[in-house]
Amino acid sequence: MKLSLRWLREFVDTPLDTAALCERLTMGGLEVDGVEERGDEIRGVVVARIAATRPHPEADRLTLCEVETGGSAPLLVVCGAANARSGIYVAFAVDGAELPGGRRIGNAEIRGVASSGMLCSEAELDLADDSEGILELGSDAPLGRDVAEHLGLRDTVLEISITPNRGDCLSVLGLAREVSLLTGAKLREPSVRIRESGAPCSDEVSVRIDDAAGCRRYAARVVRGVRIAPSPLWLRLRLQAAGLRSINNVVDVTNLVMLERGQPLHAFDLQRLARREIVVRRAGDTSALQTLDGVVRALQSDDLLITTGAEPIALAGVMGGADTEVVDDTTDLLLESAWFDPSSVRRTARRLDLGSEASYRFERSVDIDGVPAALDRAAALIEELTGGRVAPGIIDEYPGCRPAQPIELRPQRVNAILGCEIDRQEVERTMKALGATVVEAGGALAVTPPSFRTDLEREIDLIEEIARVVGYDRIPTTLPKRPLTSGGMPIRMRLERELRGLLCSAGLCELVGLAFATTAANQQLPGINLGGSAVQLLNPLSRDEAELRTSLLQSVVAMWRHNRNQNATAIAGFSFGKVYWRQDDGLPAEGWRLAGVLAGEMPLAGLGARRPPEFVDVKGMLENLFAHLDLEAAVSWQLGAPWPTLHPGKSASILLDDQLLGVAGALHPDAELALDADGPHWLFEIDLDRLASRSVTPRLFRGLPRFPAVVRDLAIVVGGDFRSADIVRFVREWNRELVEDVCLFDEYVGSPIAPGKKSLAYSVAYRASDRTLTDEEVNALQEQLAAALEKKFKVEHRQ
Amino acid sequence: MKQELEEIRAAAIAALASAATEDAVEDVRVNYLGRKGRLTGVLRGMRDVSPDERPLMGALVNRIKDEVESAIAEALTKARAIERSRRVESERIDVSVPGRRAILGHAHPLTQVTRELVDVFVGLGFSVAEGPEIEDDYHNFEALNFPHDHPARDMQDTLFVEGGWVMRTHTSPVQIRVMESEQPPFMVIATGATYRHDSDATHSPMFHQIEGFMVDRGVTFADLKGVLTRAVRELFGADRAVRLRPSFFPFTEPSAELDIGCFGCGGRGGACRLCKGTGWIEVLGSGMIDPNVFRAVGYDPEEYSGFAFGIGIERIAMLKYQIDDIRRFFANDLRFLKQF
Ligand SMILES: [Zn+2]
Repeated sequence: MKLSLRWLREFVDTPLDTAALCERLTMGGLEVDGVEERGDEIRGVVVARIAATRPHPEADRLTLCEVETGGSAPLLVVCGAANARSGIYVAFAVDGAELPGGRRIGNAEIRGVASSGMLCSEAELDLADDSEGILELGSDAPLGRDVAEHLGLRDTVLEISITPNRGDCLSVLGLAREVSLLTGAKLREPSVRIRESGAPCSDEVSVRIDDAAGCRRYAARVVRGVRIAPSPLWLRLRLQAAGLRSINNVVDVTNLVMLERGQPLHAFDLQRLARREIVVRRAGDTSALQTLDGVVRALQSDDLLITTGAEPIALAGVMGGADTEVVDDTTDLLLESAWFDPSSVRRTARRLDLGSEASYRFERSVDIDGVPAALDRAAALIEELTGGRVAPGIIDEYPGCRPAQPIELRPQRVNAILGCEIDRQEVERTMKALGATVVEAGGALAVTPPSFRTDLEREIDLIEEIARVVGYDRIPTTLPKRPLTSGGMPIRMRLERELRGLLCSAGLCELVGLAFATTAANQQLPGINLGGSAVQLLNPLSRDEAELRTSLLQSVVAMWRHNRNQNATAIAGFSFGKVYWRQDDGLPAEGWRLAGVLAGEMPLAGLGARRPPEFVDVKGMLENLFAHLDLEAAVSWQLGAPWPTLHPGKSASILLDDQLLGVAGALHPDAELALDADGPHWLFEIDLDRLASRSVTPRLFRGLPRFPAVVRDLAIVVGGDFRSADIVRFVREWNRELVEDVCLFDEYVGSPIAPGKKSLAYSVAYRASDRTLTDEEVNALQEQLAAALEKKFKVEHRQ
Repeated sequence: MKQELEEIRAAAIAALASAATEDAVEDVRVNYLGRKGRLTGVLRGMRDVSPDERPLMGALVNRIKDEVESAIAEALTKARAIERSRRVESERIDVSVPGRRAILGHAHPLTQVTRELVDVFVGLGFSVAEGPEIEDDYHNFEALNFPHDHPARDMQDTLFVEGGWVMRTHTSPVQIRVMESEQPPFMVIATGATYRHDSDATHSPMFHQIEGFMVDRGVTFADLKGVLTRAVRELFGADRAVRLRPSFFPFTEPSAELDIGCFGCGGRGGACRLCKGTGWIEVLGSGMIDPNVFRAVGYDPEEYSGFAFGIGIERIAMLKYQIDDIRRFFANDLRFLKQF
């Protein structure tokens, strides 16, 4: 809401300067977002009179004007405007003047005649978008006076955020009431004097309200004989300060009154009404209305309409109809001032995307008691500006009149909620200051708020008002009186913190991606451990991304692609985030995932560190996470991934207790193409919920071995697709008593190993718990093991 | 023979004197004490010595042998010492080469800020709760006192999900979910992703919030001021100016926005861009939980009272790191991520 301080001062005088006023408003809940000084860009433009004119000797269309400003001798100004004539009062930009847009005016020679300064048009003063001729001022304008001052162009305009509960503050008068309440300055309530003439209003028209819930009050007046014309400058300036465009004198008056009092008004062309009975009703079977923007609107049965006979003439509170619009030859008006149901107006305005200054105010509820006063104010102004005559009498249908309901306010409750000591007198004083009537009611107060404060319905609303008006800084600062408790956090969150540290240490940067996904991406990366289909958004920001991601890898791949396009070499990232799906029963579901990528080069630094990532890099990193959680023994890896878009020979399913925990691998080359993701890479995605829900057996100390271990190497040759881990598992089981550990430490392919085969080297650690093993014993064990492996796996041994 | 032994001894010691390396000393040892060594030869010749001379000669031979052996040991120690000092002189590394390491990754600035906030509130005794991001209208709006067709819903432009669901527009539905399942007293925070139909330099369709609330008998607005002032000072410094200013949220009443003294200009305002000259920066919204919210979850508002607050994580991170555009958080450019 834009508030002109010049306008505000018509209703309230405040001794505060602009900064102090802004501070008080902000601390009273009316946050001032910006302050704009207007009229400052016009300097050196003064009121002048054209004393005499004569034609320019060289140019037909130019006039030489003798201009007097009350002081020194008249100056000669060359002017091209057709209305430049002797006797008129004009805005004269003297030599050195500044105009809006940074334009500077100086003396010039125009077609051989020296011109001193310039006579200004409205457009040149930024009073209109375009204008014909020079601005003519009234003959009462004092010569030599600063024009910006004279026209009231110098103004301070505040931009105030009005919260949705404060519809009453969407007007100058409403804000003046607040300024009065918050600063103690006295409010000058405006009074309206209206002159009526001709046949009574009720002769012309009647009003019937069929839906009193939708329209609690409808007031109307008739004005005859208006002359539609552009508005006077002062009116246009008022609208301009509020950011509204000028249309014509009648429409501008309705807008002015809306800005002044918060009551939207509508003017119908009385002669164009099909019948002289106005009916306010729901649309029912009425299917369409052409609104004054020329668009034919399809109606729904519960849209609230203003009608005459069967014809709709306006969408109540939203927009008038084209057929009854005020046009240039309109002479007689029906002025409407009404209270429409906020949610009804809101539903219609939102459905048709027809939000306006009017609907905005109706949605926030207008002051039902102020309905006739706004109408009178508009009628009086129209009479004054258009030459129209106001028909005697007012139509005021008010079927929704309700007796005021007092609210019980317990002064002790005020202090119980706020935690302060505000006495009964101050509570009462504050309520009266905001316009409420207060009556003693037992120990409590019965408070009836003023009609414009529709937001005050409950005791808590009044308590808030007290806090707001006395100021939040008067409320003390205390700590709750309650026993100590310790805070806690979910297992998943703790797990995330631990894993985040490990992944950062491994060189991966954390990323956070938006949850939105394309259908194609969800097909390429369908995710793990979710059933059903992707979740669809009804109003996505981008039509491309109308789904929610099913795999966190989508965010990871997007990050990889982005950084590759920025020519990053080592792209290593991970993310914790949610994935979403729609279960077969239709209910939405969501789950936590951890996903990551190693692409391009490894995130390693130092001599010899530049190399592409290998499968063992991503696997080792994940093994470290599992080892950290003491879950290594419960995890196993199987060739092949659950989705065809991963490379079948270069990806693995990761199982925890034989249930799918995650995937790790590379994209299928087709998917690389589809996802625009290329180069060496490894991806992983882990079901974090499954990982967090796995109970971990507590660690217990095991005694240190008393006798030394003997370590022997074992080299074998196997087929190229042999699973190296099978040997490990077999050897562990083969002699659980004496084999302490076995691990693969080398893999070799190439000469002299036969093609299609590979050589694997394991080290086996033997240890007995009760003695030192002798060489002979260990040699015998190695031989037995070699034989067992030959028998079980048909391996060849290498020396 | 005795003379021969003395000669051998003298020769051995002379040879050792010029043996500067471990190998040269070893050569000397082999020459004198090896299987074919000169002293070994003499020892072997002891068989030919007459029995009555044998004890004397034997003692002499052993003494000479001991002397040579200790001279060898001494020479060896010396040679090794020389060798070590030569090695020390010849070995030089380039300490300016870059270390070989995994380049440390970085936690995302949003999770760093979240963690800081969570830790402050957990430290004050709050527990962390969670809730779904795909919510129903009841938990996201209705139970939080947002009526249908009410302009309060304009504050939160909603992303709708097929089937009548919404992407939660704030973390506040977690309040309802906790209150539905638990009885006061409790102090709870909730954090996570939230969604609005909005996108520009200061709005992202997905963003993050941290929500906190406390419900008990006798909780007051003064307590809200106390807890938030304490938390905010822990986050932004002990002498940070703090003020609460009236505002409006459907689910709290009275409602307040909390401003802190601007860290761009120290609260002086002027031409400061960070605070637009006001000297204050808005960091969170808060208020006393509205009685209608308590009624929705079946609490008696006459018995219980409580406060709630919500903080935008992106906003705090943007202020803290002076980040110009919210979309940077989600572009995940490594050059950005590595700055935090
Ligand atoms: Zn500042």
